[in-house]
Amino acid sequence: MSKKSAEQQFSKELDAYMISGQGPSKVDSEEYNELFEFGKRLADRDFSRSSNKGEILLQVRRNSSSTRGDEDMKKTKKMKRPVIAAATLAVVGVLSIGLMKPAFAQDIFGRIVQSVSLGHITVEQHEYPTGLISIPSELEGKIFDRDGNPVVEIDNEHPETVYTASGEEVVGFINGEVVTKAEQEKLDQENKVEILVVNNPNQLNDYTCFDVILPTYLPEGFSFDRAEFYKGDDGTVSNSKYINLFFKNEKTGKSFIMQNRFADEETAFIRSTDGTVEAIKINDQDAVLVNERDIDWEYKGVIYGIAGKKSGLDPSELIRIAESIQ
Amino acid sequence: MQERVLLFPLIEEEVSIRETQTESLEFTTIFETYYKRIYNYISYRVSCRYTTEDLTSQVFEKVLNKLGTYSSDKSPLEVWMFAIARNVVNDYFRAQKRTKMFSLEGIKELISKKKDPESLYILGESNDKLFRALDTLNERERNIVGLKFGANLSNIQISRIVDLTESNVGVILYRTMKKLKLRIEDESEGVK
Repeated sequence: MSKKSAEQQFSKELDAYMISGQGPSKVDSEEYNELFEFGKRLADRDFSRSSNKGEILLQVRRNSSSTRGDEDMKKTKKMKRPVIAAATLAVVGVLSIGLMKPAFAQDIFGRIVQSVSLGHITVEQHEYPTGLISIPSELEGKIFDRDGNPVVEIDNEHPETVYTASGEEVVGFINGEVVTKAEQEKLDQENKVEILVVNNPNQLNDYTCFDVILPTYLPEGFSFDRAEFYKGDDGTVSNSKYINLFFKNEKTGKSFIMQNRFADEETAFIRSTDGTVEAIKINDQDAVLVNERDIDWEYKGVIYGIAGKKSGLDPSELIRIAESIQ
Repeated sequence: MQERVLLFPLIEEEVSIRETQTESLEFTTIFETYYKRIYNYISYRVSCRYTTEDLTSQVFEKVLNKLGTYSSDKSPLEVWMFAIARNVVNDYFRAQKRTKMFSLEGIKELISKKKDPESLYILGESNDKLFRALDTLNERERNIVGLKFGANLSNIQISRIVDLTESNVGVILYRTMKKLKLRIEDESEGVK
């Protein structure tokens, strides 16, 4: 067998192996056979098995939406304020980073330990990296510490306040640009949403585009306190996709909040925590229990969320409340 | 305890919702179909798992953004996808060279910080050997090995991407394999 033909035959047989798993015809050359074995080993090797496939897909989507944001900065301002307000209410102590650079976000979020997805709700459990994280290169030279020294790393666990060169407090980053506290406050003022408070539980359906179902079970001492709606541009509320329900125990001062949203693309969300994420069932529907105090689930086209941080209730009681919504 | 809202899609018009859904469905299919091969191709070209993940996501991001411009008359989807992947990896190497000039130390630190014990364990000893051997190849050789064994492409498809004749690809592949095998055997015997 000439050298040239060995090379051609090798390629042909390798292709055959990769398509159908067929081995080579026995060739009278030890070198050829050994090389073919080596080729088989390489072809069978799958590096992707130990990769974070789900996180990569998420990153693509995140990145892709942030690219769109780059093209049109105005879009970020066009975000409907009720949605942002809704997000802040649903998750207490949140840093919203929809437009952060993905590589930086990956450093901040670290590894996904678990991800539970139910229709319009996704909850991820992350292992947040501890210690120092290098800032994205676009921010280099733009942020400084209290004493005016340039900041190149931030501590993910205990982030310190950062400032601009002129000493203004920075509260966030959008598309690689810093947003100062004053800018954010101005933006908040411009987009301020008026809240409508309704105390009569029988009137709630007048304002929403879906049927509001209140829990029929409430733990002892708890009662309906009020509902809040985000007013539209014209100052009224009609066909709202959001309703926030407040329940209170007058004696103990404990409370919990329920937020219900009409389930669609706009109201869908992803939240992440480094605490516990547990897949549970609420009346046979998939649900997720986050940090043993919040429950999120979707039922008949409505996203339900119970935020029980200030309730003093155990998960079993919160689940009982959730199950009474039918 | 830390909690964050990661993503809060805001879609303003009904039209864009429909478009996004179709696009998203098509894209998800492509992602599922090609993920393994794109990932493995990049693994053969860069020796760091985190870089591989980062570049893989960049490839699919480009695919998602350019899907509208892809025309099946010009080239098969596979060739188009791996041409994108090759460009992303090449861009990465170019950027690396530039950054290295500024701060070699910084990069070393970044890489060592990112290799946590677990991922090192996952990579395993034999992969390290393979990566060390791959590091001795030149870019063209490494690219062809990646297109062959990572992307599982036939020589004729590879020839279209790297702009060589089919038989030329075969010759380079055969020689590179010999080189690679020898390097790995040397490593195993402790010969450097």
